[in-house]
Amino acid sequence: MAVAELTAAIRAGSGPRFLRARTYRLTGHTGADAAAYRPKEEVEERWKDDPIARAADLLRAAGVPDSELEADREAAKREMREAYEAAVATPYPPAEQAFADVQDVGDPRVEAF
Amino acid sequence: MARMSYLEAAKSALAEEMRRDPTVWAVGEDLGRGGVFGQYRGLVDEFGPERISDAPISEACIMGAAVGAAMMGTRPVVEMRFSDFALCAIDELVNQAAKARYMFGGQTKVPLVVREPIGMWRSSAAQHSQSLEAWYAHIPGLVVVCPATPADNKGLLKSAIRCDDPVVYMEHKGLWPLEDEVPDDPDFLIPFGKARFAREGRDITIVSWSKQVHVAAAAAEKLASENIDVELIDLRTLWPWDKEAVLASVEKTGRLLVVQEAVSVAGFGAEIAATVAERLHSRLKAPVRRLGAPRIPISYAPPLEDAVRVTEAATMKAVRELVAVNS
Repeated sequence: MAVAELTAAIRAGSGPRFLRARTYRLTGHTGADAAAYRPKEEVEERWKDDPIARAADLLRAAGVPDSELEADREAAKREMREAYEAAVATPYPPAEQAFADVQDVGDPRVEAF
Repeated sequence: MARMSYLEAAKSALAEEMRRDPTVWAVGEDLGRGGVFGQYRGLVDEFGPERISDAPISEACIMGAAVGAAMMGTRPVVEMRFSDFALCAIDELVNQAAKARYMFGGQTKVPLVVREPIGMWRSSAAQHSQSLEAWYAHIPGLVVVCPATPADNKGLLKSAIRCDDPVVYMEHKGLWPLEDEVPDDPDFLIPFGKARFAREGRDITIVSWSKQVHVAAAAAEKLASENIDVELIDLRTLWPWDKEAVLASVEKTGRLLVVQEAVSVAGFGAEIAATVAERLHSRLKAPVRRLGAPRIPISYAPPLEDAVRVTEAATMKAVRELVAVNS
């Protein structure tokens, strides 16, 4: 709603506007970060705002059947799994690739010593 | 040929490249009123504020926006006013501009020119006087240019604008008013990595760049009357640097003195000295030698500021000492 109001105002000639958006990082900084520095209750509370779950709720309310939502979820997971498996199955580039695409002028393939 | 200053030479280079290529544009603080030194004076009248673009006082925003604009197919010329101020934008330059091509596997290039005026003139103190060229020579992906003459400031800036790599372009503030003949051919381009022989000689090789070249040239002129024949090489660009010219010269003279305005410790002179020592050890008649600033900040007070300068007298003394060895 806020975004719709702001963009409408800007398009009507209001000049620049600020949108201040507050957000929350639901998981740790990386896969290796269990984020033990945050109270468990706080994180659990915030998971209720998970935008993916909220989007599913909105779609359900709009009449999209659960079976369709579940099929979409499975399709997304499959796509990610296939991308991961393709990446893992791809061999690393040859070592000489380390010297490619650095720069044209003073190219390390010519200048390195 | 036309007689013009180092400052005017760069302005004509930018104007010519902007006329030639509509994707070239400049961005920085106060460009509309001519830039802090007048290097952009009048350009907004010809090219308009979309291409001579005034930015708010945020070097990081200016550099970040220009890196993105370069990746999207334009050729931004970024004005940082002082190499000292550009440190506010070093993440955008070193972590983004210099790495984007490599990290995207060659799917993008960053044809960016970053103008970072360097050097001392008089009493501009520790935060407006530094020569930080060695920092950028250390970074893979960047080209580093340090022009010493008006003609070079035209031909090298034009090459920088046409270059597809990010170029750190370091003009010397003390050279702005220097006048000389400058070619007016619109395709006058000086290639990177080709040094200029400012003087040919047989007794000793001096390697220098930027304003320090002129100090070394004055020293060489006086030494000639003492029958010391100096070969003076102006490197023009630090990456790539003209190893072939330096090695060939030192092979001939057997002696090397590197002269730089920057702090000597970990300066680019160390790279040159090490390269010559590695390649030509058995050919050297005397140890390689560096002259540069002591590792102290540059003062406002003139007598303290002078303690940092590498003078003509210091250059002459070093040359005499080196020539005296095994002669």
